[in-house]
Amino acid sequence: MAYCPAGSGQGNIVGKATMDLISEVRRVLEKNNYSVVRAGEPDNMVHFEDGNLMGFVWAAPTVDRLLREWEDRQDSFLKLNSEPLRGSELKTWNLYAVFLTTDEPNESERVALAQIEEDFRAARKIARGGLSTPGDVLNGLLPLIPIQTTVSVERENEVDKLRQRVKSLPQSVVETLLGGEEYSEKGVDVLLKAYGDKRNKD
Amino acid sequence: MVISGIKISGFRGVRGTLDIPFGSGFTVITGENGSGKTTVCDAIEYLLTQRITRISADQIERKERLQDYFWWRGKPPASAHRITGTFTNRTQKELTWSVTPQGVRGELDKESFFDAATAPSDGWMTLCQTSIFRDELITSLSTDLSEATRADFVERAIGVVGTAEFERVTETYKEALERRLERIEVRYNSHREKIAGLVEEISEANSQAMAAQEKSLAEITQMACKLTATKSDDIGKLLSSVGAKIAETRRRADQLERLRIDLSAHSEEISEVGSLRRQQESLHAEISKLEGQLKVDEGQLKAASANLRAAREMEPTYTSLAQLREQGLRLGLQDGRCPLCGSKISKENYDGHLSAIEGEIARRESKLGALVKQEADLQRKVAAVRTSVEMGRNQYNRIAASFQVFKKTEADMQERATLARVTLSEDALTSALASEMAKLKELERCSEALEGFVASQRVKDLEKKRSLVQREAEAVAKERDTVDAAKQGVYKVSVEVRRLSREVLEERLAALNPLLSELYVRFKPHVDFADIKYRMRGDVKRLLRLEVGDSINPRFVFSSGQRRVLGLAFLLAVYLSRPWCKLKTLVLDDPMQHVDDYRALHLVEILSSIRQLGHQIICTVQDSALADFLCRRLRSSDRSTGVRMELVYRAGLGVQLKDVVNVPPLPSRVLTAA
Repeated sequence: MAYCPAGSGQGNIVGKATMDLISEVRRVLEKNNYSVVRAGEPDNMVHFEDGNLMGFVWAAPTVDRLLREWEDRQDSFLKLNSEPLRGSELKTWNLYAVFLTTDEPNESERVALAQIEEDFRAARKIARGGLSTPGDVLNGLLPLIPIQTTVSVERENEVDKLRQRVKSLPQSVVETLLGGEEYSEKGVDVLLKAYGDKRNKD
Repeated sequence: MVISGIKISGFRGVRGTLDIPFGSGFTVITGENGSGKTTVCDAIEYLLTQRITRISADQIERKERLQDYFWWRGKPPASAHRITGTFTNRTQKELTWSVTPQGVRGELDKESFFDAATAPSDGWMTLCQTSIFRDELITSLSTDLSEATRADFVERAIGVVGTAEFERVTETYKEALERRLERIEVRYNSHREKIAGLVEEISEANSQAMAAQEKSLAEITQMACKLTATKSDDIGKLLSSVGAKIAETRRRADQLERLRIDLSAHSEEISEVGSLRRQQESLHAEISKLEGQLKVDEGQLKAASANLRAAREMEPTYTSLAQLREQGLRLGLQDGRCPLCGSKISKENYDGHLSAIEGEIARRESKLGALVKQEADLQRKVAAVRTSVEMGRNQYNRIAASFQVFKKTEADMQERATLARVTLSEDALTSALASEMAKLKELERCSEALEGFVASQRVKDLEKKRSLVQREAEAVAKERDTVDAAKQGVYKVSVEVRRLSREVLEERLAALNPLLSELYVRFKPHVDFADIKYRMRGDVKRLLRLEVGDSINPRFVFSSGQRRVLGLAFLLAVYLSRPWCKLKTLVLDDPMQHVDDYRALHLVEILSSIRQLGHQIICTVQDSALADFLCRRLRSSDRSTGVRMELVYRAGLGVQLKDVVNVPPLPSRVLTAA
């Protein structure tokens, strides 16, 4: 994935073999104020919820299994949680079924994963493969979390930079133009005197 | 700072009053086409800028005013025209002001909305352009936008670079020096023109001075004194006297020339006098003869007229005789007696008397006819003679008048000759004229020589003047070089300021790029291109190009829907990249148009993620199901409430609020309650 604001570069350090996908999912969701709970054995599925959204994440061992089992996983989730879901009619509309795997999909699998996401029945689906870094996980979970990038503008001392760049000019010229004063006729006289003196000296 | 409510009266489609309470978290406004959703967005913009950018002056007819389109113009008329807005800051402090067609009422606390030091100069306008996204803006600011306009839009949205003040100041100095340089250039050119003029004058004076070099000043003075009969050694006075003398001599020569010409013409006329005299004498004899003839003819006419008159006096007698004869013939003899006198008369005598009467009458008529003819003939003859006499006399008089003119001309010429002191003869006049012309030539030579001396003096003066002007021109050139050097110095600073400004801007844009990438990834507009980049180029005119894949311009590979999604990502990135802006309200006017369901879902997720940063969102949509979806996903809470409302347009009443519902927060624990 090209975008990786939080985990930029981490993919090179945290290798595919070393990253526990479901732990990383849990970390990202909890960091973004979701309650996350384990959803039984084996330990590759969690339920998550905040004031607005809820759902489950299944970390599939392979792309193939993900493609074969995602519907069953969704159905069993819905069946298992039918009672609380029925109790909250509106929030049930904000249900997410997230299917992730570290396994790298081939081209046809990539298309199949995209098709899962375009299936709107029962829940909004997120289906991603090849999540090898925390950045990949973050990208996969972007629909659930706030905007991650904040634009901050560092105020540098631009005046010092400028003065440095024009230091070959007469000092009085630099002061007149970069001293923070407004334009004045007196300023023009200062410029002319500086260049008149320079001319006479030359 | 967010907007907490707006009250709209008599504005756009609103005739009455539309009181809209905005949710502090979000507001979803729904309604059919023309129900007034856009009017709400217009009202927010108008409240902040007193303008509606989507309605520009170039879109209206000449006689119309933009204002006419801002306020309710339907019937019945609106009772009030006003927009009142209320804004709330973090500390729950409220700011309220109104705008009417007459202007703003209440104080707009600019500092509550943006940091004036870092905001663009048109802070309010840029704030609106980067907070209120309408269909037109989404379309125009998407990938179809020119790279220069996009760069300008982003630059303004990012805010003022710290070097902007220097840019302005150096630009002012540069302009001032350029103006001064122009003025100096004018002065320098004026000096150069003066020098050129002086050189020309010197050259002219030099050629005049050449004439003076043939004779000495003493000789020329002596000659001038002699010619003008004066005594002076003042060249100016002598030149003036010679000039006057030349004029006088020329005048006299002209007089003589004219007199000579007149005399010549008169001589030709005099040669005809003898012939005219003879003609006059002949005419006199002819007239005398005709007058004699006229007397005779007039006498005859008088006599003939008298005879005719006498004959006509006998007319009644002959009329009676004719009647008597008629009676005699009709009655005839009465018993051998005359019917008139009763005397006895024979038939032969009676008839004889009647015949005698008839003969007498015939004679009488014949004589009268002859007399009438004679008188008419004589009258014609007399008239013809009279005309001849008259003509002769006229001709005679004309010749006499010519003699008078000759005499007068002769007298005039004589008088002119006396005044010119010359004898009135062709030879005398020719000789006098030749003498005057010779004098004139001598005077002109003298004048030329005198002018030569004056010119040589003038050459010296002009040389001095030229030297002075030359020195002045050199001083001006020196001043020009100094101003030019100063301008170059200012230019160098200006270039550095611009360069630094660009560098700073590029750094800020670099900071914006990850945000644009994140939004692009969230939108996923195109399955083949996972990321987007921007590229800034150009020093003077900056261009901002968006690229996907291998430097591909998305404009040419994305569908219109994909381009619109990319446009939205771009606009939202700009919205979130305004360090100077304190208003945390995002207004979207029907952003889902032309976007498929899948990407509409992404947009709603993105809006939800922006809401999570604490921003207020106001979004209009036509589709009721989409409105429901937005209400569920935009995160209503106790502290950050959501409102859903529906607008409707009713004929004659305008836009009205059909329904307002507070969106309740969703239950916080459903799945994880246990």
